[in-house]
Order: sequence, then C-alpha cells, then structure tokens
Amino acid sequence: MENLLEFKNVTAGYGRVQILHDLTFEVKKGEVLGVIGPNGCGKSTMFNALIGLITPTQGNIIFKDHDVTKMSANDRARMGIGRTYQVPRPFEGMTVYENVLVAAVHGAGMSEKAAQPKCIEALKLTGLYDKREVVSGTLTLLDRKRLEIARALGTQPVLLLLDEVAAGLTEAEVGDVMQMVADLKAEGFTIIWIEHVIETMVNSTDHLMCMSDGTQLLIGDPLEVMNSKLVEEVYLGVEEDE
Amino acid sequence: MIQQIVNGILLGGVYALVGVGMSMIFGIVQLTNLAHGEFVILSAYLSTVLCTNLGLHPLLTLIITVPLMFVIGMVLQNLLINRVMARGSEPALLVTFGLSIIIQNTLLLLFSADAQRMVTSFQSLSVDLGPIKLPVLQLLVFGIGLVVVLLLDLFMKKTYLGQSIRATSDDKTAATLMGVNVKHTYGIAMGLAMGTAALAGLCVGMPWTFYPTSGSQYLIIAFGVVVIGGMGSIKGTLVAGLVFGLAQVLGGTNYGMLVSYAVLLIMLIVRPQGLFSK
Repeated sequence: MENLLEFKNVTAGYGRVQILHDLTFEVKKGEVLGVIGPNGCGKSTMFNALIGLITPTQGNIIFKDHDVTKMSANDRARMGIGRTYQVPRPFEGMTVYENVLVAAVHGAGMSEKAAQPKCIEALKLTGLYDKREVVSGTLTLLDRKRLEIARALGTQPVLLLLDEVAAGLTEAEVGDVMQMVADLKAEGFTIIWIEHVIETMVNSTDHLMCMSDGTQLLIGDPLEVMNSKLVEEVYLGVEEDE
Repeated sequence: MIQQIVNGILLGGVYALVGVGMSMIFGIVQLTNLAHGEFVILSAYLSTVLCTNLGLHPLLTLIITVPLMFVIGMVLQNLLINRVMARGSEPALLVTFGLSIIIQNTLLLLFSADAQRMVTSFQSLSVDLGPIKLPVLQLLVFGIGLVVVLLLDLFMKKTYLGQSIRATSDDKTAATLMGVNVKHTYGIAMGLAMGTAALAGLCVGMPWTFYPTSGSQYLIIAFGVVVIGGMGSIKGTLVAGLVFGLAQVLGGTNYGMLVSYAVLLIMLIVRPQGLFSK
C-alpha cells in the first residue's frame, strides 16, 4: 500500500527545548495508526509538528508525496490534514453547523452551497445532525468531542488526527466514540490516533506505535506492541526483571 | 428631560460608531489599537478635503473615504502589524501608538492646529415633535451609526467571511487548523474597522469641530464604549454607546464627561467583562 505520510528523522520542540528527537515512522493510506506513550513523550508535539504549529529544526515531513515541513498550518489543513484536540476547542459562540461550515469553506475550499451537503454528512457521521442549530458553547463533553471530529471532517481530510478523543468520557461514552472511529475507518479515512485508554486501541487500530522520550520505541501489530516487554518497561514502568 | 434623553440617545449612536471598530480589533486581533482615534480624525480630514477640493457633499465623500480607509487598514495590518504581532502583543501596541503620533503630527503639518468642521446644508434644520426637537444632522449621524453597527453584526453572523472572522476571534489556532488564513482575516478585520472609522470621521466632523489632536478624545470614548459593551461584542458596542451618550448628556454641560467616566468606573467594578462579553 502507498505511503500517505512519512516522518523522516524529525527533531522539533518549543524554543530551545527539543521534544521530538529523530522521530521516524510512516503511515499508509487507509491505515489506522494508534500512538501510545507516557505523558511528556511527545505525542501531541508530534501532532503539532504534523499540522504545522511548530516547525522541525531537522528532518522532513512528507504528506501525499509533498514535503510539507515548512508549509503553514492553514495550507496543510487545505491539503487534507484534519486534527481534533484532547480538550475540545469549538468556536463557542457559533452553532454546531456554523462550526463545521467554517471548516468546510476554508479547509476544503468549497463554496457555502457546495459545503452544505458535506457538513450535513459530517454531522450525521458524528451523530450531531439533530443538534446542528445548538450553540456549541452549550454542548456536553461527549458532543464537544463529536464536534471536534465533525469539524475536522468538514475540512475533507485525507488524514485525520485524533488526540485522546476518549479522555474524560464515561465507559458508555467511550463505547460511542469507539463506534464512531470504527465508522470513520470503514469510510476509508487514514487515522493517527493518540489515546491513553490503551485497551481501546488493540481492536481499533491496524498498527500501534509506542513513543518514548520524543522518539519511536516500537511500531507494529497492536497486540505485539502491547505485550512487548520494552513497552511495558517504558510505558507502564514495569522493570524487565520483575 | 425627554429632550435630554433623546439627545443622549442620538449622541450614543455616534459613540457606538466611534467604538465599534476598536471593539472589533480588540475582539478579533486581540490588539489595542491606540491609533483608532487618529484614524477617525484622519477620515474627518479626508472628507473635509474632498468637500473643499472636489465640491462633494459630505455624505458623498464616503464613497471614497470608506474604501480608501479599508485598503489602508488591510495594508497596515498585512505589512506592518501582522509582522510585529509575531513577536507578541506589546510591539504591536507600540506600533499603533507610533502611528497615532505620526498621523497627529502629519495632520498638524498639513492643516495647522486650526479647528475644522464640515458644513452641510441641513446643519440648522430640525424636526419638531411637540416638546421634542430632533436636529436633522444629529438624527442622520445617529441613523448612520445604528445602521452600520447592525449591518456589521449581520455581516458577522450571515456571511462565511464573517463566520471566519468570528471563528478566528474565538480561537485562532483552531481556526488555522480549519484552513482559515488568520493573517488575512486580521487584515480584513482591520480594513472593516478602518471603514467604520471613516464613517465615524464623517459623523463627528459634521456636527462638531475637530483638530489634529482630537483623536485622543475619541480614543478615550472608544475605550469607554468597548469596556462597557464588552470587548469584541458589536451589539454591546451599540448599547454601550447609548449608555455613554446618555450619561454624558444627563450629566450636563459641566459634568457630562465626568458622569460618563463614573459610569465606566462603576462598570469596571461591577461587571469588568462588559455587558455583552463573550
């Protein structure tokens, strides 16, 4: 299968503090890559580098065969990279529909008329269609998470970045989110998914990458990665001789 | 008393127009534009020059001044303010302060410190409604203020460009990730703010005299309106303009501004986020 994204020896951080060190991995079209790792290992920084909020000091990011390392964040969004945040950031004064419309018009470069059916499609896929006229600032946490995904879908992404969509949700709500991700996978989206609720990742991802100290520790079959002693040691704090 | 209330409301419409551009820049660009008062006065001078040299009616000068100020605003934001904003909000604040000094001194150089005023054919006309007298000029500038503020509010809610401006105002990072070109949006917001400054310039230049140094007076009024209304709220600006105008008129000739600022202080204590904050 063809590579959609390649991280090639990427080093990046904030100011003088480098968080990512020589990070290398690739994602194929239609794949769901789960990303795990302890707090501070650079998962969200990897997303920030990928969407263009920070510029790597070394290495390259190749997306759809284009080097996007120096490209602006809004241009990358237009190229098809959509991101959700762990703490949802809706445009609170706007309705659910308007939130998605902004994404469709600017992110996908569509006219308002052409964007309409795409917005409705994104709202239906995320279960927010009935709440489309609700002001987003009044939504529950689960619906805010849904809106994050709907808005990212509004940009008509090729690559969808999910940042801890299950965090802070009840068990039942996590089940809803899992189903939504499964639906997105079935629709053919390529997804990179950071999650702390690790059990959810085993059945929902094609590959799992464990990060540690800003670099890739292990990547491969989700179950194998989960059962790896190396991952247990670094991620769960279990010593090899225990 | 009724006449005073009417006068206060009419004055409030103009104050809302003076403040709305500054409120937009506060809310969207997160910048305190210390040159806003000077832009209002610069526009008043532009209209005066067009009236004098081309023989245009003051109202017709808007055809030139509004687009011209819009373009100046976009250029200033894109070429100057956006660049310094990358280094934080303080350099941008200083740039607008510098702009205010440059504009003030250029106007002094070109027009001297003499008072200016645009003369209109309806300067002394009024509509008598029994005990209430409505000066046509005040009614006109109030109407312009009211219509502009309401249109701007509608533009923000109903157009996709307005929605992108609101999205940027809510969360510029999230807006960027939705594909919004934030710098370009800032440019448009500044252009719109300058367009309202052009309208405000006409509305203060017709009924009142102005000088190259009058900008600071309108900057303070704009500040008051923005603080009372809530930063970034267009509707709030309208209500705050009316509150500020009413307070000034009801305070009388001697204590008008004092009462206005007393209202401002009370607002800062009771509701520092303003009446219609986000």
